[in-house]
Amino acid sequence: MIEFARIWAFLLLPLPLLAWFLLPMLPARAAVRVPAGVGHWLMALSGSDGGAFVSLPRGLVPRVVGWLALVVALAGPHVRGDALLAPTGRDLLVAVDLSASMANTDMRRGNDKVERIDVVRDLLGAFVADRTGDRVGLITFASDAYMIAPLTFDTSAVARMLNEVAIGLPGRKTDLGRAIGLAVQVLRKEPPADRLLVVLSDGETNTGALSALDAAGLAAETGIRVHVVGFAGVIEPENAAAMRDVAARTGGRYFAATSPETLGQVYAEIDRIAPASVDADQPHLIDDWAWAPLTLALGMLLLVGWREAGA
Amino acid sequence: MSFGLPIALLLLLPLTAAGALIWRHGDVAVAALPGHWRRLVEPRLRAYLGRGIAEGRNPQLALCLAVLAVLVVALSRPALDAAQAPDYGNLTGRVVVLDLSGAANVTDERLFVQRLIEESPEVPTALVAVAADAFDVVPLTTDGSYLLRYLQVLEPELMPRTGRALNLGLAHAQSVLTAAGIVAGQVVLVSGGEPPRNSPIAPTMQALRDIVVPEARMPAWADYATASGARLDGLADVPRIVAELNEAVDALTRTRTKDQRLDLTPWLIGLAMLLWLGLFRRRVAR
Repeated sequence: MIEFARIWAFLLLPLPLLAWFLLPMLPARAAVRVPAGVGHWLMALSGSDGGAFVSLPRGLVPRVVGWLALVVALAGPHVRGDALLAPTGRDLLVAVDLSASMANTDMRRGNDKVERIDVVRDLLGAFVADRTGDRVGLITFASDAYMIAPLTFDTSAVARMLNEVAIGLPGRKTDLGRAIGLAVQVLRKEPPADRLLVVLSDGETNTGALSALDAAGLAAETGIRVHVVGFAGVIEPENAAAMRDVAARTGGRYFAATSPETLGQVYAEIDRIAPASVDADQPHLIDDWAWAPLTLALGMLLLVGWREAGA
Repeated sequence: MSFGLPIALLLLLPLTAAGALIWRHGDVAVAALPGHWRRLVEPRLRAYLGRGIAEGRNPQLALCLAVLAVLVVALSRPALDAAQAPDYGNLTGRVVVLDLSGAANVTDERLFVQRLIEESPEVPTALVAVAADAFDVVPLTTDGSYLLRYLQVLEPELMPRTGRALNLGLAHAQSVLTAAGIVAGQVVLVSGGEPPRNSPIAPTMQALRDIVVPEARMPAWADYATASGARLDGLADVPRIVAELNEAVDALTRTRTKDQRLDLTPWLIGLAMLLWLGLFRRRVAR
């Protein structure tokens, strides 16, 4: 559908009327000499007072059509093409705990008991896929930590990869420090950006050489905010306190989610405090159609010139 | 400064010639009486009956020529370029499809892909492996070290089933570009073996396609490349493949994006309109 970039241009349509009345008149380029009596006789026939003959410009139609074409061209007719993705300037890493405890079936979907990881796949997948404009990467961790998806604008690919991860691949225990350390390593080599790490874990750190708190210190030095989401049917107070400390060290926040509903609310809250691109401002490729009225105006101009030349 | 449609400037040549003709011819024509008088007055008498002939050239004609020049320049879509190119997340992307069907040693092909990644680090690149089926290895990313890490471990033995479905690889690569909303995409199929026996699939989207094979095998691949709408390149053609995508992106940003440059066309149209108003001046004969 044709759209106009400068719709106000159509207000200029009546300008030629002003030009007609306000611009100084041009002298006639040629006239006919006649005897004085004949002249008066002709004047009388024409109904003129004998002062002057004011004539319409020759080639009025191409002048008017050309003007209309120029107004349309100025209005910027175009057709929207593919949407362009305006980056938010944020690098977002998502770290998911794949330790053995994520297979616990203490979550409910309707009346069915489901594993924690299934809920995470659904809700985190949707969260990631909606992070339009962020560069998103995926880390999975347990005893070890692995970069499953590098930073990419293709958030749907990250959501797909999240769907394919399996519990136990990175080990059976939980090493939150290693996950944060890997995120620091990845983001440190990237150009400066708003760096954000969202960690989802269901329990305490029970292995690893680098403590989660020390890793959080490194993250803070690298300018990474870490939001930690505790996700389990019941979160032990000491685990919650540890995760809260990690988040606080980096200027991030701790969220507790004990059900699929609260986990959904947590991601909605993260979306609110670190919003993705706003769709309304999304730029598009433009197929500019101004050439069409411009070409028409050019043709009309040639006609005007031809008529002015008296050919 | 750049021009979105520089070829339009060529119009200045015939238009200048036409303008000169009208200008010259107009000088004579004005000597004739305007409009229907030409039919009413004997040509022999016009010189005696007409007046106002020697008042110089018609100013309206000069105005027409000025508007003409402005319109032609406006048609060429001039713009002042921004210092920095547009940085959209989905403007460009390249999917490399590596043939792991075991038809040939993949060492040379891996080296080719490595050079491709290293020579265009700013282009998000994805890796797809193909044998009997096609698999995502790495999604579109500019993380070169991540790409190279995975590239180095890709071997035919890793593929779950033996077979050779290159068409599937091409289709899968196109779906990767579509899913990511890439507007200037490129699919590069790299193979060391013979062309497949099954007929190629026609391109279904506007992504550029390149098929890269060892130089010695290029004649055998020519038909397959043509039928699949791809350009055939050798393993040494990395710069050509990089340039192909760069040119496509340049053309897009020059003509179809507006945010990162100052388009002068509306200003020129405004100037042309201002001049055009002069064409509505009335004539008076006293």
